[in-house]
Amino acid sequence: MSNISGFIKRIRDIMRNDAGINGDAQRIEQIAWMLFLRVYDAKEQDWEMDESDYTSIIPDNCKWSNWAHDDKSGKAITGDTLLDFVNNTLFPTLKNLEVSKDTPIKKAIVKTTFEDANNYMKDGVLLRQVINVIDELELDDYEEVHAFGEIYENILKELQSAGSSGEFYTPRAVTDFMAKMIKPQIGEQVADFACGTGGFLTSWMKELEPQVKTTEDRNKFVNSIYGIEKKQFPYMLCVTNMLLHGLDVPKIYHDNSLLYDVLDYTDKDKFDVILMNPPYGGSEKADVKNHFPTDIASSETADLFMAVIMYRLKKNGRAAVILPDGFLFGTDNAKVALKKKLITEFNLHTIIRMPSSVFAPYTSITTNILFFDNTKPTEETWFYRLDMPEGYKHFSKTKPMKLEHFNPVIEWWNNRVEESVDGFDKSKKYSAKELEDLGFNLDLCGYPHEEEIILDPLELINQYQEERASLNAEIDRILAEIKEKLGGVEL
Amino acid sequence: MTPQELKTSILNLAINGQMTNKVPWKDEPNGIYKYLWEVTAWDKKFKDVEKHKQPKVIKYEYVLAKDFKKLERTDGDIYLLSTGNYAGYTTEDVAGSLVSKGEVVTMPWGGSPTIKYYKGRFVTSDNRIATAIDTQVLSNKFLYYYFLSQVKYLDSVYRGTSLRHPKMALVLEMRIPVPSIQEQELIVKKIEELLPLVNGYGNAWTKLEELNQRFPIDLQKSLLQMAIQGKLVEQRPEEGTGEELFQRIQTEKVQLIKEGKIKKEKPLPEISEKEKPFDIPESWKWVRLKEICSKIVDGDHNPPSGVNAETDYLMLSATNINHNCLCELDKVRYLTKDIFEIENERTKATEGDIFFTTVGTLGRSCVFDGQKSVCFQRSVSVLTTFVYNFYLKNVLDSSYIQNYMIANATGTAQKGFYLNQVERLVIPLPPLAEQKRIVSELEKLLPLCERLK
Repeated sequence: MSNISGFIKRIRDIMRNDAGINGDAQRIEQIAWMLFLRVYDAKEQDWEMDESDYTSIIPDNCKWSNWAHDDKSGKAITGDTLLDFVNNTLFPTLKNLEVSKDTPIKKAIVKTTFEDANNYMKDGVLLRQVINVIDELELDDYEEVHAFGEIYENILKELQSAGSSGEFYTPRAVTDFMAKMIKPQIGEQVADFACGTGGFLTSWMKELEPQVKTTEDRNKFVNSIYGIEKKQFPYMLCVTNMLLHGLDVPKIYHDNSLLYDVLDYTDKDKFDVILMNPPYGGSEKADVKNHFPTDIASSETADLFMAVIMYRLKKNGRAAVILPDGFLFGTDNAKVALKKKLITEFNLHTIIRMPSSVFAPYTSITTNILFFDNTKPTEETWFYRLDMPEGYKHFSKTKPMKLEHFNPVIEWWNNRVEESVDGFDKSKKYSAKELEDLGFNLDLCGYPHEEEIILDPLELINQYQEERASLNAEIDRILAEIKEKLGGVEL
Repeated sequence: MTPQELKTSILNLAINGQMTNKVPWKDEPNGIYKYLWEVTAWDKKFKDVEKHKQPKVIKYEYVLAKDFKKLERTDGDIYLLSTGNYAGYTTEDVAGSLVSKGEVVTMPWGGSPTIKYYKGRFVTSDNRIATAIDTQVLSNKFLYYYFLSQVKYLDSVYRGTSLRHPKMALVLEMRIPVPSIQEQELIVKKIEELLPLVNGYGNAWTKLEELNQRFPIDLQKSLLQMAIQGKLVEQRPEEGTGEELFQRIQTEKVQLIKEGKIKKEKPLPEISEKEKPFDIPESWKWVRLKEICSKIVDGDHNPPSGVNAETDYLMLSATNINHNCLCELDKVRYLTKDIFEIENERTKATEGDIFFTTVGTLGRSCVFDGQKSVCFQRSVSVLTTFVYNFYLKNVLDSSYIQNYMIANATGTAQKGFYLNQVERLVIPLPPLAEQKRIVSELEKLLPLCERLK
């Protein structure tokens, strides 16, 4: 493959000189739409060869191979002409493509991907340079596309340190671990209702692919994934990611999973497996809560997603979800109702506690993986605290978490024993009754000596409001009981 | 509403009859209310109480405080009835003739009204002990809750200057409602259902108070951390880089050395990856404090003694640097002009310098406005920096530096963070214009946190 290792660096060096690119997030957004068009163009060339009646949804003048590709005849547009074309022809055309509900997904995604896309670059000459670097990618065969998929993952990883865009990216060590433990099977369907850049979906595919032996298997394989993403930018990244992983018809929808009444879901909306890292502290309009039964309608988006998951997990289905500490210790009314539902209707068999810097540098919030299935009510829940590996004080951009750091959990998984270190529980099982007696405060087997973790202000504020809400809810419950008891006595 | 307010309110409601009747009882002649001396017997004849009010006295052996706790045994079943919060058990063998038995309500002889109720075998410390003369008339538990509802009044009855004692004459004149025994028992039952809930409320309330105290401070730390990691304001390429600023500073330093204004310096060791505590934007640079200052000195290790009279020439110590300014200026050493001028040669405090405490209460700083003549004892260091002084001050205030100093301070009696350590502090350096924008943003946000306190 030509020049793969220098690819990212060359583009970064060129973009650095463009005044319109302010920071990592915009740089990645800029690369994203160009990469999408290039990858889509390569795919279209395949489809044209395979399907006799294939017609593109993109008008000829907007096809990458026509406007972007430089055939060295000196006609390739650059400078102001290029800028003008991109801003005044390309973008408006793609944003206004005719799409109906009958349009096949593989064509519709062009419009949905471009709906909120932006061209930030202001220098047409630099833009031409970037286009040429992207054009150099040889995406003719499967091997090269696959190799580029790895590079693409590296681009996505940079989101972790690109300010708030980091929320769309879950470290692959974590998604790989969860996909591994969930044990995908051919024929099953996996869903991620806030799929971001598609990490869980690609980890699922990586884990499942070795099981593909026949054409029928492959068919089931490419149809096994389903994703919904609310925000434009990660949606585009996810679609491109899926195309690069060989899915011609990626079932990724640009939508908000929280805007549908959970009670309306039927079996066809349910999935065998759900893998997710829902957003926390998100902002949704207050009327989003109307789509949920009142007792579990929370203001916290992570809670609402847990509700969606519980209503969309098939009977005998399995799920693994990353949730913040707030979900575990929170005892406001909605959380208690949610956790009660989870423990009484589902089998919450394992909770893995992860150290605080897993998502660094995007955030230092502490998170946990909840594994549960829809087979029977919970009898007991195992808690396991994953400690920082030897030689690591915290994970960072230069020392990220790796799949091998999960080895202690994997070894423990099939041979579960209770363990405590220095008097602090590291792994322990609790019966459902014990959890109920604790008021569903699941903050167990936690990290002992909390070195002062400075949370990012927005997270700190969120956590404070959650804790305050929990305490206020507890106070209100007690006061309600007191009021009840003060109400009249017969002599 | 504090837990104590809730408890008192509930007890009052119970004791004035409102939990069991629609209207509270009235204290009328020949009504429900009786004098305490009419229904209770105590453990001593009190000298300011008329004889006829104490026909019966029940004596108890008591143990003074200093010997009391010695009686404790882990396997004991005889309650140690102290005058305060202490509680324990002892055995018959150990306590011997000190053991009493009964159903009692107690009030400490000294201190404050920590009222207790006990039924069974006990050993008492110096408590005044009451019991109902006739338990068919007055329930002891009811008596106990009555006292609890009157804690505020009882506290006023404790008189004395250094040692307070209850004026028993006043206690015995208290008016206690005495409804039927059935009603008393019902009221006690109601109270005992509610008190655990009040305790639960108290626990949650205390946690909430602590949370509300911690939060504004944590938020300030969080904002500062965000600022020094380059996440508070955006980076602007047109403002240049930390590296460029650093080079300009080094050039200026070379010039100052040539002019004899500062001494030639030994180069400091390069900053290793391990020393970099967090990620910073690409346009910033990690530097050592000495590299961006033209002066880092500490105060006199052997300060002169001052003069008694107030002068215009002050020698400050760490106590005088707090809350971002000079303070407690009534506690300073005054010097004569001549002595001051000698001392000032060392620190030459100038407007814009940063004063930084490095011994005792470490890490407090302020930016000098040049409005006084000040020199220092060893516990304060003085910095003159090339970078924006308020930016540097904010870095010094951050948890990163504060925790680092605490972790690396040395000394037994007083912890000190010495000059060579100060010089080596690793500081994140953005371009100058960005430093100004960061400080401006912090100046908007930090006061908002203050308002949350």
